Amino acid sequence: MNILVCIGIVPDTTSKLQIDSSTNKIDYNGLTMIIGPYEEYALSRAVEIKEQVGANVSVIYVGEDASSEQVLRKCLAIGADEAFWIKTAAVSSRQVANEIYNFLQTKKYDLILTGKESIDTNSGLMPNLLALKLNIPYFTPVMKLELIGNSSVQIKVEVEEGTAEIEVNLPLILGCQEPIAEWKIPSMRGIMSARTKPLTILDPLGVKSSNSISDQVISKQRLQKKIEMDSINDLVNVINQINK
Amino acid sequence: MNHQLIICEPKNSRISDSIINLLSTIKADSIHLLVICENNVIYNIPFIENLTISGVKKSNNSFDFFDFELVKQNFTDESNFIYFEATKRCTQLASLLAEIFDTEIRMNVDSVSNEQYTVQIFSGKAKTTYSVLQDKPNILGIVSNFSSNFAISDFKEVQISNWVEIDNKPAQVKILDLQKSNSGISLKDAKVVVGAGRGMKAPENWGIIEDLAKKLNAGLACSKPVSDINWRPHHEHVGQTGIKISPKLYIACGISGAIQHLAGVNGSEIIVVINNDPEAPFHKNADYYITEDLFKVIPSLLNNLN
Repeated sequence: MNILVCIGIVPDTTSKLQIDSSTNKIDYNGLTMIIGPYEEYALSRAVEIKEQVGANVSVIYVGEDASSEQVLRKCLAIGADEAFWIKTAAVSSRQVANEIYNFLQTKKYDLILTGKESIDTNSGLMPNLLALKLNIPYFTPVMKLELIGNSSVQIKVEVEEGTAEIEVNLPLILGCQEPIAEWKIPSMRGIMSARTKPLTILDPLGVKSSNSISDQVISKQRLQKKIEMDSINDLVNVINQINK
Repeated sequence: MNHQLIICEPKNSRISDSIINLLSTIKADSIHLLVICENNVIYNIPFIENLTISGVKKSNNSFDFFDFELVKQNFTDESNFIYFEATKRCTQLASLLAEIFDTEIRMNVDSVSNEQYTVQIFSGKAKTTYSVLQDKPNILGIVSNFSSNFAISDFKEVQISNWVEIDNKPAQVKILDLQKSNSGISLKDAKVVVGAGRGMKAPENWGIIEDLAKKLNAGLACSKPVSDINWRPHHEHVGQTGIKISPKLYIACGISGAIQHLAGVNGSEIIVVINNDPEAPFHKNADYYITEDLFKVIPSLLNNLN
């Protein structure tokens, strides 16, 4: 069983975003960068499967964040066996999907896990596009994943009507979200062994330029109006007004 | 010629407010509305010149896929813009078109002109402005609360007579169990959302929250700690790693307002916070807040609301 986990590297969820006035883009210098939270659920589940039934777990990242190596080593410390890093500026979901598709021309995986979305763009498009290219099914968001033998999985996935438990054949791509697994804290042994696990840097298909012009940080000013219990009717009026 | 295509998925034969707002915003020589639907009729099509409509039959099985070859045969790249709603089916069709036309596709677009468009990132904490591609279609998924300065008030009922045949690739899926969500109001579409957290003290206390939601025809949400300890189902979890909501009104009860929760509710127009802790960080991110016991406040609201 070969599992590939596609990860993104994003600012820590508590980061305060700021604009670099020289580029008019978000300034990533000084921000703590982490594995995308949804991707970390995906990786954690892959490692659980490896521990339960045995599997080879690879991680792939497309991008050129300054902390890439450190974050990929953390993935190895959590329990991935091998990491691949396609080093190029990631400018769109399609570009990342194309890069991973190209990588998959020489490597075969039974199961590809991603997060349901990356928390910077919140788009969820990459796995969707990759699945179309590979002509394999894609399900998202997946909250439960169990292997059935070597050729199929049982998953719990959100659908229009609610949630469905389904059985589908491999290979496929799953966009993960909690509670698919518990986040793993790397053990000392994991951290030590991560140093010697393979981390391969790969050349990109090509360098893509972005059509982005500028970024802007939105700070929504809230009214912060305190309501006392005696004047709760003020609040009732506000709610009635909005909900009429 | 400026031609634009809009892909949408009406509910109960009505197109969404976002699509109506989009229609009122865009300027084009011709607009084609492609509706993915089960019925032949749409009740609320705005009176707009140069608007044409066709339909794609919605399959009963939401796991079905659009067929790549049929999509390829049925669509041309003459549109400068292809807009779509962020439903699974619309996104899948739009992704196929991005692949066929070899062009970019982006989500969370909240404003657009003929030169540039803006995309919400980091759950609405920031935006990126992109230049419009001139030589290829721009494929743009719009936010679910896309707004407009121009109100449309005249609508007509339209019978769909032109159908595009692209939906014929059944998914190889064995359905073991299907649990229908009981509230019926989807959090992503709800105009009002009532959320609750650990301040509720115990899961059996949720009755007043459910009553309030029912009274306001609101969606039900909860904080992450509450879903983690199984007081509430995970599909109600709103926040950084849960669902992102953008209702007109969000009422948060007994939630402290950690930054991870705020990331999921930033998009709300008005936030009301009920929390007896005067130090709760949520107060600073609220439009209205009340620092009293929620077990007093909510019954009082229930008594006084329309």
